[in-house]
Amino acid sequence: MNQIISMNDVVKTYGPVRALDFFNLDVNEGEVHGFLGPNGAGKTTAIRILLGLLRHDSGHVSVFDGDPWRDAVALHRRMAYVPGDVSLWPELTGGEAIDVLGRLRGGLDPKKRERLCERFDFDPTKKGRTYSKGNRQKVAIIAAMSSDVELLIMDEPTSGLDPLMEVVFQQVIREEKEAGKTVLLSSHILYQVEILCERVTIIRQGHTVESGTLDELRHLTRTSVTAETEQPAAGLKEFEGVHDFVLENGRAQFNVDTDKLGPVIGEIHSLGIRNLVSQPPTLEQLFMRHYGEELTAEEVAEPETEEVAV
Amino acid sequence: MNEFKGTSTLIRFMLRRDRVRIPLWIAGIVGFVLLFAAAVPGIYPTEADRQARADLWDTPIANLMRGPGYGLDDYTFGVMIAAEIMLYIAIAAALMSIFLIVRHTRREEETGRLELIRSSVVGKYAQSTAAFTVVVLAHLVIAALLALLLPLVGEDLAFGGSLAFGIGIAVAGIVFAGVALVTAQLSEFGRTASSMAAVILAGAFLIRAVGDVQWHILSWFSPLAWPQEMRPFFDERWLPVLLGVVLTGLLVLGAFALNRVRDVAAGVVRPRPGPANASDSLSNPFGFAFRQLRGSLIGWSAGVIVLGATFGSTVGEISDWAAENPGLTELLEAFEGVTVLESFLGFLVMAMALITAGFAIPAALRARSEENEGHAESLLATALARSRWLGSYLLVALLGSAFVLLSGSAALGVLAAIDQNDGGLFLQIMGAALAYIPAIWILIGLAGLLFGALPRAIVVVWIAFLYAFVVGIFGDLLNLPSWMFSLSPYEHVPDLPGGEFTVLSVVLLTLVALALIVAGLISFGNRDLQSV
Amino acid sequence: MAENNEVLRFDNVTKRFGETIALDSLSMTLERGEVVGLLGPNGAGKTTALRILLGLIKPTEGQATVYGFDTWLQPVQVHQRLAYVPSEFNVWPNLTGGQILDLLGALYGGYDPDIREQYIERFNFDPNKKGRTYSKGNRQKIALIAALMTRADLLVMDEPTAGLDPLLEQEFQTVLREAKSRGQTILLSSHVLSEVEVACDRVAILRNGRLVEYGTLQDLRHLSARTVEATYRGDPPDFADVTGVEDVVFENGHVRLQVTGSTDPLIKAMAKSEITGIQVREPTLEELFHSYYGEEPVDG
Repeated sequence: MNQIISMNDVVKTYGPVRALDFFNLDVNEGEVHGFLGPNGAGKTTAIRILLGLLRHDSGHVSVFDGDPWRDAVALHRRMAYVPGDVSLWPELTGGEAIDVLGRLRGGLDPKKRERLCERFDFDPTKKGRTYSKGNRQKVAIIAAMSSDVELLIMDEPTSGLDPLMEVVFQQVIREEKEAGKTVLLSSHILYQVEILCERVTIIRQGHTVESGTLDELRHLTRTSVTAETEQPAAGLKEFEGVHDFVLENGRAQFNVDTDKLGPVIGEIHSLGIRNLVSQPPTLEQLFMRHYGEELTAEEVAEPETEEVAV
Repeated sequence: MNEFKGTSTLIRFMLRRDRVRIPLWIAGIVGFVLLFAAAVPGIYPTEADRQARADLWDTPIANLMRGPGYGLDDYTFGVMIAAEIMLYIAIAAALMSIFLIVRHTRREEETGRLELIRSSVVGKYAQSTAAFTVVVLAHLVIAALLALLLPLVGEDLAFGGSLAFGIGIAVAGIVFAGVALVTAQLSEFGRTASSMAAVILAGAFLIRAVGDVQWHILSWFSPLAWPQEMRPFFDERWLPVLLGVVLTGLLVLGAFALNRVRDVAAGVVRPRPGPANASDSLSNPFGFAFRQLRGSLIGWSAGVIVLGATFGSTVGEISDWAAENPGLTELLEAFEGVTVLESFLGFLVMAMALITAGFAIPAALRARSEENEGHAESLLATALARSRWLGSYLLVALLGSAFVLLSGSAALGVLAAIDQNDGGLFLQIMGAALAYIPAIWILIGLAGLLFGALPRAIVVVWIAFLYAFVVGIFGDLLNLPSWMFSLSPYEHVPDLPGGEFTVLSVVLLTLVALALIVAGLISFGNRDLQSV
Repeated sequence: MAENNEVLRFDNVTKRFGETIALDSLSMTLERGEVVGLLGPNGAGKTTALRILLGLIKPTEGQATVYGFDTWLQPVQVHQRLAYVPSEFNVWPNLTGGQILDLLGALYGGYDPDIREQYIERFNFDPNKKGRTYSKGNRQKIALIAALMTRADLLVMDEPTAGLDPLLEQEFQTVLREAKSRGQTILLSSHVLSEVEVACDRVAILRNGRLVEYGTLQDLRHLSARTVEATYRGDPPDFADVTGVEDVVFENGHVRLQVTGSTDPLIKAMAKSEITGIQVREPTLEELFHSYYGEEPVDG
């Protein structure tokens, strides 16, 4: 399997601040790879290094087996970038901006461009300064997707898009994937990452804290369950793998080890379900578990060990 | 009154934001005047020296470039200051006003910050009023400093005259604060608001210039003439102050009226839809840069053409004067080595070349604002080499500045040639213009190098420009040592028309410019792109 | 001004920009202590409505009032009772975050410095950095803290958590709950449907400048079917014989379907496979949203 992107022990400092601290990232050919982390963790810095906008201080970076800083022009023909906060030229129309970006990259497919403008309900004749944030994002998305490139790098591409457009975006990404493209998607929208991505890398304070498929990441966590049943559910507490059980006003809430979920659901069913919410461990929970308690605390032991120990 | 609520908080805030900028402007303006006042007694120690200067001065050329020149019969230091530099200090004060007002009004709207402020407990006029108040305060500080310090620093400078001088400068500055307040309401962009105000300033200069050479009454229509009409150190008159106050009041009321009618963040003119596809020229970096700078290029070309034509229309006056004053003419010609007319024309071409730098430097630095606004990032993430991207802006600056200077010189040349019935004069003037182009290019190269290597120090190119300007316009007056002259690229240009077109110096200047540009492109290729 | 329960009112407000109609006869009110979500696709008119409320633009027809004051003619009185969080906050590059908070607080008319400190800590914000060094999320924090520290009676927020990571999203929701329990009224325009779902009492949906729905989530829900999502291992479950099941979609070990009526037969069918996770719920706001906007997104 080809590694389209490879970052090994990359360090980048700005004065006293270490933005990337022996950071690692691998993206394989044809995969949609999620890139997550809290604000300020270093995601944007890593992406800008991949784009040849910044030079890393140490470590090894390669994109398409080339050096993104030295070979920027050649590599850029094979990739497209969607930033999280598009700023448009005020005097140009959205359509002109799309064309400029696409042509500078090496070419646009006009049919695809038109199709995408339709799907995203985008009017390319308005001047840049009149667009709302969501529409500005569309310019970057359409420009990137209309080019025939192998790699898409996206930094919060849907910020500002309404939920309808997010669905369109997801469909378009799926199509790109089916066409064999590789996508690096940095996003705060966890369910979006969950739906689209096969593998995920989580960054925190400049280094990689988690990397793997969602399944791999999931099995370490628990599922949370909220159930309202016809008959009292107190007995659930005794089931193997059930933790933090709370019963209030006929509603039971607890966490259960994911691999012990089956029997528990069966029991709930036999009690008669009124309402049941059993969320498969979402990326959100994973995320929270990593950082939840540590909003202001100092760094202590490795978070992973705390996870597994339960 | 509710409409002004929050003004005092905003004033404090603006002062805090500009706690370095405003003192620098004030120090620069006051400093220059004080330096000049301190230096001239050394340069012109005796009365004879001073009168010699006055006689040299009493020409239509000087009227055109410096003002009406009151009190020349007794050329005291005070009269000298008012005659020689007051006009330019007034222009500097006006520029300071335009810059500060637009910064604190239109730019705030443009970035969306004004929206946040206006959504707080802030009245409709608070922002504009606060900006205007800050600028007025700055000008009053300048006036006070000049009034108090000129008598101390200079020789024989009375307090009354110094006060009139200071207030005269303040009048010009405050009127143009009013102008900027209005243009900020009319346009959607900070850049356009500044340009509009600058065009009005240029227009004021020209009206006053024509007036001072031909029909004096015309000058009164220009606020730039009012400081000198106060006749500081000579025969102080205060009518211009009244005019200034009235005009400013009208402008401010006009700005408020526009503000009341307008939605926040809109201009008065609504944007129209445009093409859905980019033209071919737009899709390559040079075409793109050109498109962005096209408006500026057209505006400056038009402006410099009008300037050249205006200057050209006064050529007749110069040659008439030369005919009527043969003795003085002979003296000047022996001194300069060229005829009075040629010297005059050469000076004008140099002035236009200096003014063209006002187009060239911002054009070269457009790359900087593109980087700051995040546009560079999008483009440089495509298959566009950094050198091509930056090079495009520099190339437009190079070619554009050449075009601006040549077209302005052509206008001057045509009118001069017609008036003097000498076709060769046109060619000589164009030759002079060509010779000055590399000097402008050096400033472009410097801008490119600073942008590529040390973007935080970009202000240095403006300091270099200011230096060249002061040396070029005031160098002879200040009797500067020759090493100071040689620091300005403009001083290495051959003395045309009239002198010899020394190809070597032109080639050398061009090479220096190219070297700076190449160094700029290389260093840009080596630095990180700044994030927004 | 007589203090009844009504905090704000749009009274047949229409706004035209040239030929475009941004808002079309919008009429709605907010009561004291409510948290109301404002939803709609891009271009539906949400931002226009908020800007009219803030007195930044003038209604072409109709009137908007806050605590009885006209938003265009009496903006200062309006603003004395409200605090605003914009969707994109541009900072002054040379000022620190703390200085910007000072300014915004001073303009409002004052705030409690302790409260400000608390928010700074909760949001993990460093007020000593210069504006231009802040990331997008941190800039947004400045706007949030500035609004929250004023304890204004009415909070108007336009996509306040755009660019904030999920941690802060959580913190924000907690903050909203607290504001509500303090009796503050909140108008929240957001695309983050989960946020709106959790925090809001009522939801207003705008489409093409018109108010198409305004009610509690309960009211909006009763019309829709419930959605079931499950993840499984091995053979997919078989719903062929289950009544009330529609729109079944299988993908990658994940199945999604709509069910009307009892969920019991469905669960029985599912239990035959190895289910790793299941969700039976009332329609989310997202689903309601999609159903209100009708057309399926155009396919590729």
